[in-house]
Amino acid sequence: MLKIDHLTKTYGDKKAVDDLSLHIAPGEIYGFIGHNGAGKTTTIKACCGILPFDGGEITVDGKSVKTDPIGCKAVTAYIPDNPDLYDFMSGIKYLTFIADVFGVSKSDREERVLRYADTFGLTSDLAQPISAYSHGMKQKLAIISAWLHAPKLIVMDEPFVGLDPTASYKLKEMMRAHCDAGGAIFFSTHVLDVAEKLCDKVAIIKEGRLLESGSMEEVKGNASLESVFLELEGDENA
Amino acid sequence: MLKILLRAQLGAYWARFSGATRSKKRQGAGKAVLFSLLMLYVLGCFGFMMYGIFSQLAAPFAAAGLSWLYFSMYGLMSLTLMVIGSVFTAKAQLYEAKDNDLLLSMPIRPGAILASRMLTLGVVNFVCGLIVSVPAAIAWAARSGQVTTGAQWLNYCLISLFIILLSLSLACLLALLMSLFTSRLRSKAAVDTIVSLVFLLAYFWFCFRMNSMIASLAASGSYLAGKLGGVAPLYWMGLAIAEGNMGCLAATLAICIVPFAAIYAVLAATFLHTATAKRGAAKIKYVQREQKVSSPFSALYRRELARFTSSSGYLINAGLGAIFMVVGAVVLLVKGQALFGSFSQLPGLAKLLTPVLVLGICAIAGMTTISAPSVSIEGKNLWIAQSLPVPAAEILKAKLTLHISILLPAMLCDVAALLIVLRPSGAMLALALVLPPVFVFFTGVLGLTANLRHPNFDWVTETQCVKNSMAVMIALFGSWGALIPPFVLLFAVSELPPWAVLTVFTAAIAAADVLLYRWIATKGARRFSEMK
Repeated sequence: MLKIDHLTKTYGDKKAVDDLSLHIAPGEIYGFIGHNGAGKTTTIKACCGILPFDGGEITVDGKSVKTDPIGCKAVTAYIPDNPDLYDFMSGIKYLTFIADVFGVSKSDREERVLRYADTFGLTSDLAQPISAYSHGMKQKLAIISAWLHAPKLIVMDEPFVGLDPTASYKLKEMMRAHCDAGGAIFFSTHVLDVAEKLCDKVAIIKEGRLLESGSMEEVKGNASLESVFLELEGDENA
Repeated sequence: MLKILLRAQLGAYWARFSGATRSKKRQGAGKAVLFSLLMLYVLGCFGFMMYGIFSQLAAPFAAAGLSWLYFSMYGLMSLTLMVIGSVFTAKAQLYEAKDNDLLLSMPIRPGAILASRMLTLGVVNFVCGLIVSVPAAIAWAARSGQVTTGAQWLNYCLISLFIILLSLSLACLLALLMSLFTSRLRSKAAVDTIVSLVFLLAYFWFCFRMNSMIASLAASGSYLAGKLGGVAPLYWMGLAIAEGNMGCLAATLAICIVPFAAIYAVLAATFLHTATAKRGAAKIKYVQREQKVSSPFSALYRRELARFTSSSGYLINAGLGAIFMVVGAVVLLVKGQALFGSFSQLPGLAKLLTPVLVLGICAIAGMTTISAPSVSIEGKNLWIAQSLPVPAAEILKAKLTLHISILLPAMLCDVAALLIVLRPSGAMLALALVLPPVFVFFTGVLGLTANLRHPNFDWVTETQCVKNSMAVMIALFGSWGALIPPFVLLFAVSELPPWAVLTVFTAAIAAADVLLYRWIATKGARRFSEMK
């Protein structure tokens, strides 16, 4: 579903991502782990066609992000680390806007808005302006907007930040259901416990380079993901 | 602690006006000096305007033995300007400050927070007061023909300083009322827009009628004295300065100090409650309705329209030209015959009237800069537009369409008024119908091109983004600059028929439209996709 081949991105002299290759297959929840400034957000933005990159290739559902960005975006949903949405719209207007742009049919959008808004307990707040939303409410709205157009690939940057425990649980359920239905999810997180329990595969990145990737069992073996992560970070520092 | 807080408050105030950004880049010394010079220029302009007013009043009032009235007028004018100049800041600083939680979490006494905010307001009032007090004093010394004693000047200075307290009291009360009113409103932008428009129209009305109003004031000093003499505080203030009356001075100072002390005491007692109060419009409960489906382009256009109409800063600053055009159309219809009737009788000027007016309408259209900040204003929401499955050119087209859909109807109002009043025919009629839409398109593509070449996402407030931007400057002066050649040709080369000048100009603008639009749809769209 998402294929990253030898991705390289530089900012000035600094290589933010250095020859990174990953492959996320349909049905997989793929966790992306690394310290702050490791290159996670840069990789994620490049996958979504938001950030141009210098080298390598990214394909989504067989389409190149470079040559067919619109085709890739049509089947991808992106949730950034900070849900900066349109404060001048109400929640329902924002969802309508997303549904219009992604061409979601009338019956589908009505059913999905109600289903997902109910899931996150946001239905009664949909008429409120987004400027009146808390951080968690904005995050919930961003999640609903991502699921609204039934994308094949969902790319999320720190999706659990700001969510209450119930909403976190619901999101994990939705992620699993999405992948069980043949979709794929690629997300970054600092919450290693969540990654360990939720992800089918995981990649650990440091200073733009891939340290380790593979299925959860392959990466962590009998240890915990946290100890493996700290060990890999330590090895690199040594 | 108070000093630190005051420095932070004044720094924030300076940053708001000088266009400082969120980035860590320090504002260059050159930019700071330039901005200071600009501020001095603006203050100087207002100062000269005030001098113009008071210099016309000084001699007649002094000659009529109404010196006290001059100083009462000064006090009233100073108080009005200070209240207008500080009421919005008072609302933002005292009742709607966004850093209350942060400051209250620090080891700072709430009293110090309030004092720092009040002192900041005091500084704002002081600057507003100087705009009136200095010119009024100079005008009195230069034009009244009276000798003013040291004691009288001392009273003048004392009252000029203490009147700040009275202004603060009034500004605090007005700001409280405004805050209570707007906090329950859902459409704050609409209220802000209406209030700003009222102030703007009042300002222009005052400027247009200033000379006749001052002449009328100067001529009716005795009548005014009879009216204002009945208002004791104003009379005392005038007497305290004009005659050095110490009793009146004490009364005036008391009128300034007592209300302020009372209001400050109430604010201090309720500051914690005010700072931590949860305000907001009443919650709107969502009721599920049948959803309307529209095309991606229509959704993008509605997004642009919603952003434009939700921000009073964007609406007023970028849409001012369109508002003026509608007002202009009404003026043209009502006063057109009277204004241009005599011109149309003169053979030399008659043939220039229509082309000059058409170009004049284009010049007003150039003041509308809706497209110029439309890329920068995406700000931290840029990721949404960039992650949508629509070509960047479509997003840019939606921005351009908004500009045209707001400006073109206003422009057509003016064109219709012009056609009704001047009744052009033949080539000039055709040009009057063709050039305005071509020029509207030009203002849109010029602004959008400028913003794509000079984007700035590093702004703090939307108003700052709309006002302090290179793209807006280019759009404004670029569209005006384009009008200079036809104006010059019309007046300087009388051999050239006006229709020929306008035809060539229309063709040139149309060519520029095509070129700029092609750039936006190709290179500009690529730039937009790669912005970060």
